[in-house]
Amino acid sequence: MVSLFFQSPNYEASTSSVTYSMVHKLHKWQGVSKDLKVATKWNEQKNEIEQISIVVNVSTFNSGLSSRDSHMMEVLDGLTYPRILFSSSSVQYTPEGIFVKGKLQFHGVERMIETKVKLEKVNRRWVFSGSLPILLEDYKVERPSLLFVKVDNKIQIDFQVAYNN
Amino acid sequence: MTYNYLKYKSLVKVFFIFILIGSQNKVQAQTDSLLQTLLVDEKIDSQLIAPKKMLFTQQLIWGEKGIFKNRYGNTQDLVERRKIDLRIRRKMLQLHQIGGFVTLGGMVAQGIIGSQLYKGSYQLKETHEKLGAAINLSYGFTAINGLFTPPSTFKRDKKLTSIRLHKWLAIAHMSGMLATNILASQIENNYALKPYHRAAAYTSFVSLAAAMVVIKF
Repeated sequence: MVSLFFQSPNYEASTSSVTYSMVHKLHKWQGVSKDLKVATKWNEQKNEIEQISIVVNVSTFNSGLSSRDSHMMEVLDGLTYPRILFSSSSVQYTPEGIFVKGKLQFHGVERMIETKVKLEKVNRRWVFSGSLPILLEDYKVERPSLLFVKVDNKIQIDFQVAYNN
Repeated sequence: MTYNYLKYKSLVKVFFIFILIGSQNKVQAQTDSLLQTLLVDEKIDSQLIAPKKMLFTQQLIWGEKGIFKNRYGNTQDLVERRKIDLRIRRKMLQLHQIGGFVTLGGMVAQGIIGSQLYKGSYQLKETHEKLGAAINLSYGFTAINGLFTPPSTFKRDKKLTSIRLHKWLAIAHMSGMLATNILASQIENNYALKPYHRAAAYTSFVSLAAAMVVIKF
């Protein structure tokens, strides 16, 4: 098998991010966190990720509007559940893409999720990216409302985790 | 013979189940240990538990020297204190939203009654005054639930944002409300003030409606 890396790649925080997208009848918005903590276990023979864990603090998301970020802290009980945790249980490389299964802990609720991840090489950097929809009510998050209209239950999570070698 | 075969089959099944559970536990343990490397104790950002930036009205109530400075007695757990503050803040802002709607609805009704009064339906004068008092009450309730909330967690916006616009419009409708009430009390002695009273009332209505429209999450 052709080796992609000569040694285990290093996680690159500056180009990694998690973005959430939320929708209200009147508008849409996104919040980005570039403050991810990532631990990766590599299979050095195959140059593939064997396991991955990601931690993001709720307070690190910035939507470009302080009042909204403050509301998110309130809605997500950001002091009781300050961290969003993901921990993979299986990572499978297939010709169609990389399929990652694992536990997502959000708002104190833990659920199994599965997502397809795309791997791209950008300059000397390996970028793993993907997206997954989650339902706020699955994680017992009381949907906030504005003008008596609640935000959509579904939110989109987009992630990008980069490594260099 | 058949009995022994069935017994053997169930033993094999149990064996495989044990192996499966064992391997799953192993994977789980490895995964959790990887996650544990990231879960180091972090110092909580002081901004999250004790925000310094706040409106002077909030400072008056929730600030270090505010009226409620001793609201939690000797409780030293700053995180727990802040959690309670945030719950109060959320409730107050929900009431602020409801109050805004009720006030705006009252203003629409007042606009209709007021215009009838201007056209000469003087029997509506008392209704106009009573409705005015009710609007003042709901406006005051809404204002209290906006101005005196515990402070928000973040205040990092430098540019013009919807919340800043909401606050500027609040200055406009609050000035309008004051002017409307002062002019209303003067009309008895000076009927020439009527158009100014109406203009002030319309300014309050328009700026309150705009303040509600511009607000975003």
